[in-house]
Amino acid sequence: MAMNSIGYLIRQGIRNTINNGVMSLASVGVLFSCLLLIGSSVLVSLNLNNIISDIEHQNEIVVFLNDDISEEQTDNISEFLSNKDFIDVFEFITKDEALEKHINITGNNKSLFESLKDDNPLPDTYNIVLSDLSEIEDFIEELENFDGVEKVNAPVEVANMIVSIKHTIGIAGIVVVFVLLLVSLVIISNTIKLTIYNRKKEINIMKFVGASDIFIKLPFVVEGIFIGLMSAVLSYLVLWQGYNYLILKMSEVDLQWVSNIYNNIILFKDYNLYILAGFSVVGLFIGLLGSSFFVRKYLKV
Amino acid sequence: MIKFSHVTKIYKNNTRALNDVTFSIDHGEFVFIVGSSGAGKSTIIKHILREETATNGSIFVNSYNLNKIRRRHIPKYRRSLGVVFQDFRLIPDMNVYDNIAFALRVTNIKNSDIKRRVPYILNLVGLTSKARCFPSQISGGEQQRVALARALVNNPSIIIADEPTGNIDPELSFEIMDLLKEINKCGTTVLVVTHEHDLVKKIKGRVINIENGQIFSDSKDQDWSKYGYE
Repeated sequence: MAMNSIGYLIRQGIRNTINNGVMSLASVGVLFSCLLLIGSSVLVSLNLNNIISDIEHQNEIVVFLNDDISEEQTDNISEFLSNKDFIDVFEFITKDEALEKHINITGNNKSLFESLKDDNPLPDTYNIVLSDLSEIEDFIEELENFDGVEKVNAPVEVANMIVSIKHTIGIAGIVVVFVLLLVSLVIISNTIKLTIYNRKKEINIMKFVGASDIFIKLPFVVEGIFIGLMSAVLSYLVLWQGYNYLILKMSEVDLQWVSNIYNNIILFKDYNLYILAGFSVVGLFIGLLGSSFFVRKYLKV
Repeated sequence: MIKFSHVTKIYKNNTRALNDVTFSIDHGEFVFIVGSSGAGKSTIIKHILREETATNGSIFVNSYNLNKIRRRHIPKYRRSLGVVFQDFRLIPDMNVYDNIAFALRVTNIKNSDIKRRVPYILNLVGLTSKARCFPSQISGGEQQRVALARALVNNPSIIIADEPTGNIDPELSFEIMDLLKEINKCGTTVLVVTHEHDLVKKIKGRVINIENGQIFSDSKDQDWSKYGYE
């Protein structure tokens, strides 16, 4: 296709978008609302995940070691722990350090613990914080099988609950986004179908003066891209301003649970590029696919 | 130029629209296709435009075999025809100039050629002063002249007019027919589908009469006087 034709067809596409003002506006409106809903649910599920992760990081596993543990056995456990990538941090605490800690935190009853210094009943321990709780049960079992480990104390039930909540939120997030995408596709394809139906006659005329399929399709595709991108930018701007406004309002509320959420809230600017890219891709994809798919139906003349 | 050979068209609902139709039109002829409504006139046009394909038989137009033409060659084939419809079929949101230019644009012609060719054709059909008007702002007769201009602008070897005077006043009808006759004098084959006998009587041309999907008569083989000519 010659360059002057491409220029003409792109101009034609933009002109059509403007000429079909009401339909274009309807398409942008529908796509905009859908993208905004999708964006909001993504932000909600990201935030929930972040809050759960924060709770997740408050877990602590304590491994009590036998009094007669050898240095080799301690090294074995240390090595095992260093190789686990779901461990956030671990610390070896000797019995003396543990006693010291107790003495420091007990305050008034210092003498009670100080008297134990000669015959310290506390064991050496490993204190472990996990970054991912999903494998906690297997992990504990492995630890318990080590020589020199007397007992492992771990919040298994809480951990399992957190894991299942996280899992549920993940799945629910995906389902909600998927359903919204599907609904958007249905509504948008109907809007596009209506737009194209209105211009069925025009397409028919084009066919009879000998326009090739691509010549007819290109202005519609340009229109689709234009509408898709416009909706993407618009919904991005509204989501961005709306989210930041919400955060601002939350910072002003004097309630414990609100400030708990506020402390763990994700910042829009950390995700803005992903959101803009996602919106653009979805907008472009729907605009492009919708227009070229439905024009095809009327090209069979 | 146009050659129908034993063409039969049966639609999906078993309607037999054309039944063993055979005729040929040579280069430079002026031909009327007449017949009552539902006789099969429009079906013939649809086949020439390759909107429909024959169930049986073969159709050749401008050396294209329409039964075997590839889908991607159809647009190029259609550009060798100029078509005028009863309902004009102008693009409503394009002005007169752009409607005519559109038929040139689809051929990937240079802008400079469009700027030269469109005013020439507008002058030919006497619509230079209406170039910037939209179809809704001009009369039926003018719209039909725009449609004719659009059909002519590509220098087609055949002009096909499907009831070109059906939606316009009788006086204007003769004006359109005169234009078609002029075009025919320059060597373009003209095929007019009509049911208006007045037009057929006034302009001498070959008359093919279709009834019930069959050729009832063809003046090429018959006595002209039957059609009101001396």
